[in-house]
Amino acid sequence: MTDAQREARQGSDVRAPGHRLAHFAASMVLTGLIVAAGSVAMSKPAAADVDYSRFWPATVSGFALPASDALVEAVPALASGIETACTGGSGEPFSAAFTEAVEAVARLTMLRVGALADENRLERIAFIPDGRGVVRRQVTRLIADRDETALDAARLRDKSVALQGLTALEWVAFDKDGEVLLADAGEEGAYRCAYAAALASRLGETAEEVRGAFAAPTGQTGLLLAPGPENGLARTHKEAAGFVFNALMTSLELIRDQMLVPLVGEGPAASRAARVPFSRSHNGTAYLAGAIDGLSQAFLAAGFAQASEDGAWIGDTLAFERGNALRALGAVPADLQAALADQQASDRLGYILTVLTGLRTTLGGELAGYLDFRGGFNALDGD
Amino acid sequence: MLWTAIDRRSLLVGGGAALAALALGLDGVRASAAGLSDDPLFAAARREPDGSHSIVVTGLDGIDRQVIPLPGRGHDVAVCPLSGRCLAFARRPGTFAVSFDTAGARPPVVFEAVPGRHFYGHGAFSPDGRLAYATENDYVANRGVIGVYDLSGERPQRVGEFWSGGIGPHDILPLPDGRSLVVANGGIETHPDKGREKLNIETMQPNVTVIDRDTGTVRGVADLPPGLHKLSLRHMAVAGGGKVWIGGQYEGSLQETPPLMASLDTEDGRLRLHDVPDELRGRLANYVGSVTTSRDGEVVAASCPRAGRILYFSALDGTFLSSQQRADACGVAPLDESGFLISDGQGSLSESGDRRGAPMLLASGAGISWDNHMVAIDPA
Repeated sequence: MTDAQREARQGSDVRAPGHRLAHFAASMVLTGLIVAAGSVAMSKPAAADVDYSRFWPATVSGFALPASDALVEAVPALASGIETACTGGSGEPFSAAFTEAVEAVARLTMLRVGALADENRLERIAFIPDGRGVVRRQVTRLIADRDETALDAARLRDKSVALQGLTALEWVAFDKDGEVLLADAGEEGAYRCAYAAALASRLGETAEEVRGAFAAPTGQTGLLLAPGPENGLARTHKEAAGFVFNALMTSLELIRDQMLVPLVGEGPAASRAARVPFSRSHNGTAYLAGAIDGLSQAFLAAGFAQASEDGAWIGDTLAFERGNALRALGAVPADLQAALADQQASDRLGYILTVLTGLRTTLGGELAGYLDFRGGFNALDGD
Repeated sequence: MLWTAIDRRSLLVGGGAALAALALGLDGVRASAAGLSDDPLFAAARREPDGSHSIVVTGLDGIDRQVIPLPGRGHDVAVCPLSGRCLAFARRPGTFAVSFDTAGARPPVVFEAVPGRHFYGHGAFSPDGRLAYATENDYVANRGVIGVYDLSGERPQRVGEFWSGGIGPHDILPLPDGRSLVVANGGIETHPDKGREKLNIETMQPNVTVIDRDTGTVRGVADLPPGLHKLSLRHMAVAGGGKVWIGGQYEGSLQETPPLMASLDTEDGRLRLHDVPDELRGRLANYVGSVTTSRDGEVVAASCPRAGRILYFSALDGTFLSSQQRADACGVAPLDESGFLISDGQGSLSESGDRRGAPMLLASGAGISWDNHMVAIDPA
């Protein structure tokens, strides 16, 4: 642009620009070289016959509904275990039910979209990740205050999401050594028991809500089923499928980067183990197993790999590696902190990290390329 | 050097507190004066699970403190240096903006661009908080303008405009002298009738322009060399001493890999380009989505959401320091002294930590997408 052009464009300013001092060609100091080599990795062109409309309905019927059912079915044992522990019985039934619930929660919540995304349901089920220790702080304060309004499942729904999920129940019901704390002894014991019962009831109702919203699609589930020009979430089935795919990849990264990488890294075992949800109650391995299984089930149920002949091998790889990871994880002691002191167990965790690293490359690179998924919200059409 | 014709005195001399405030940046001043809050708050545009758009005030726990529904997709939030009042703007070529305060004491006020103008998504406040400046498109005349708004009444009133110094003004920030605004003119011609189509790629002329906010006088223009005329200069941060950091998006071939970061020394008008190491060159998708500086003023962070990477540079000399991977990460805001909060399109908030390994996930909301920018604000 010339000086004259710049001058001319000031002509109609509402606010007088005043005398322009000068047009300044700034000096340039290039601290790097401009090179023409290298290029951004490009995804492979989508197969013309990929039917993007099939992935989300298949995910709902093949994964979301059965995983929601499993959580709904896990809650009664949780509630009865609380009752047993709180009426002088053993804590063992509750502990076993809690492990089952952790696995069910881990599986379902890997999906992260649809009914889970509406009304903060995912966070209501379990507040994960919790990098700031919100659950610990809020639950500790609640117990100290003996807040009666938290003892009613219906009123609990209106409280902080960190106060109403399985993560809150862990803080109420287990001590730092993974022992069940629930016993109707003393004022605090009674409060813990009542709050734990409310949490189980609340979790059951949230799981029912999730199942209901997947079964009779509303909210985000419905939006992903019916893309269109007026749909603010997805204009096309391809966008909807990409949204679901990216959410699953986010879960994979969460497990890999935020849990397993720190676990096999350096530093005190306690803080490393604490990066895995539910490790306080010695259910960290149960969470990881449920998460890896859930991820695998969701990808396979969606049928992403089966959409392209070239990518069909990825489905087999995913199933194979899932089996490898779960076998290795099954041999890791439930107490993750103790496991980290054991070389063989640490090696197994390192192996699982290797498996997930490979899957991230295969799914996020090759499979995303076959399906022509080109990135997320900010990457698609930046500004 | 022509840049020396700028009124240097006014750029360099300013009253003590005001100058220091602007030099450090709002966050720097507040952090150093009162220490970092235990509950720092941040604001950003967001797409909600139902596809609607909002401006959200959130904490590091990811729990919403305030949600303001928007009529369309938002972009950036400008924070008043005195009152904490905020202005959020529609993403190009939207025509709405919203004024709100982080305490939620007053209801948000939505207002529209005047006929013939649309917003580009960014704005800035005057040091006393009475005026605000918005980057806008005069799409009939195909020129960028800065809309001037008086915020002293119930509703923002547009009281004037001045030329932005180019086409496609995107980001705008105050300079430490208290008098000047710096504008990144992206150089890309668009027209709302053509949506987000870019109309002048072959002839685009991006620049960084310094403007006197009282008179609208253009006081200096820093251009790129002709060979880089397709490097759209868009997002900025002002560090101590008034050095301006600018991130660009390259509109040429992906086979070309120009530096994407630049800095402007407002004392001498020198525009420098800052490159990344060989192993990263060509892997950034030629796109920087957001730029900010740390509270201690020593580190510049730039996000590359198309590549899923955050870059860190020394604010002292522009040396590349490190990078981190995070898919679809775009928003970056100063967190503690040298760290950053990172937001992404998958609804997560992460902490940069030591700025080398994976950012540490603090919170992850399901089904939501944080938009390009995230800004630090003081707690209510």
